[in-house]
Amino acid sequence: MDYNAYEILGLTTSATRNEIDERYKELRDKYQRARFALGEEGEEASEKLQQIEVAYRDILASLEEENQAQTFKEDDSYTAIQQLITEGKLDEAQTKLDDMVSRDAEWHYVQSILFYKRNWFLESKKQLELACQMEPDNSRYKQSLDKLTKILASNTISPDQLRTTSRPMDDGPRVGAGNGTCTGSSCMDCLLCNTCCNCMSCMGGGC
Amino acid sequence: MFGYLDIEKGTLNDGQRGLWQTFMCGLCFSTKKLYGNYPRMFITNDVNFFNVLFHSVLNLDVKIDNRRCFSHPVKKRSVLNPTELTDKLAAANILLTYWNIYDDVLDDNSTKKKAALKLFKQSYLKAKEQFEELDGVLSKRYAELQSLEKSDCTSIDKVAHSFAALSQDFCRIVLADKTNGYVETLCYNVGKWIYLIDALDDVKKDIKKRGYNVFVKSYNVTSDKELAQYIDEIEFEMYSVLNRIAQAYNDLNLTKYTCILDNALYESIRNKTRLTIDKLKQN
Repeated sequence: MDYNAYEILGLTTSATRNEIDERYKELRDKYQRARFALGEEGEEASEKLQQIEVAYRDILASLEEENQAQTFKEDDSYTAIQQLITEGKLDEAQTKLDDMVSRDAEWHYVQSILFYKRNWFLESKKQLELACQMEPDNSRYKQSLDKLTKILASNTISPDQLRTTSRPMDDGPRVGAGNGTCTGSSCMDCLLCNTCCNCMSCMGGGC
Repeated sequence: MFGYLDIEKGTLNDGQRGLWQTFMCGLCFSTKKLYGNYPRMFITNDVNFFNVLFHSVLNLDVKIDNRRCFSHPVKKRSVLNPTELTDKLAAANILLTYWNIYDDVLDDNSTKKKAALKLFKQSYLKAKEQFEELDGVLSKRYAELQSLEKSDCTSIDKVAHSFAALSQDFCRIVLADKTNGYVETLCYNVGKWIYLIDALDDVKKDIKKRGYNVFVKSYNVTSDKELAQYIDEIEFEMYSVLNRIAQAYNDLNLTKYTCILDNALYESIRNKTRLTIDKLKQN
């Protein structure tokens, strides 16, 4: 905004969304009535009405822009934290998570991955359940919770079938499990992140 | 706390059982050589499991001799010739036993335990000198555990972490530059299992004694009957730990002494978990 739209509404930039709406309605009603006055007064009111309409529209647009920027910033932060978790820098990742202001579903999801990496399975499950409660339609969260409860904690899968890497062939190098895109260390994440393949096979053998 | 990690003797053949015993005798002779007779009474199956595991991870061949000993004076038994590793584990056993008894003394202040600690002091001081780093870690982790238990911590994962991390540190220090992520994950979860199975097994006793028990605190219950309501969550935690153990163990692709290790990790600890959970379910 090149001009100060807030000033036109008689507000400061610290005004809340509610305050903005109320002031806009108040001024609009006032000038809508006044624009029918005769002479200069009516013309002035009409002009004012136009100004507040534009100012109000611009304020809303800038708020929306800020909101999106914030969401992008948060998405970026989550990606950065997940990267730290993959690199095994768990304490650093935890500090960054603790520093975040929002506690949305994604926050709980990332926290659950972190707990999983620490081998804190109950805490991981609790965080995943919170994420699912907050966003019941999110299939990523739902699938992860399913895998955690039905595969990791399964008491029916034969223990000799559980592995995250394939068996070495003739002492050759280890290769990733599943579809070959996951390595031993990141395969653990795929249980929660769904970043690779059908990771049922990583947990339940067949690799 | 110790004594849960063992082999399922009934499902091993004589030779395999003999191999387990041979490793145990190796540990016992190392202990005798370094610390005399008294601490030989305190060698645990748990430490012998790590004895076999670490020999396997390091791919070490062992030499076996036929020897008589104090408790088997007539018939010669096959004994593993003490190695550098059995010497290290003998020292580790002294330190682990010392800190475990010390922890018990802080918990229930029993005179019997205090006397045992006193008798142990000399061996402890010698082992401490040989294995300063391990002693430091054990003292730190046991203090962490004490403070969490004193503060009535209700997070099962958080409390068990101190003991699990102790087991992981123990593995890292003993294996030194030969350690790796899989064996550390394995040891972390084995430590966690030991702590949790001990707590689960002691629920009734701890309620009676009004001692700290992580399951009782976490679910805020006053009897084992009440705790049985939370059996699904408890089963989830126990099997997650058991499956991570199996996963990490399989990832190691070990080839030596696996008959014993398979038996301990695929059968023994799973059966013990099943039995303890069933006991709770019967409530």
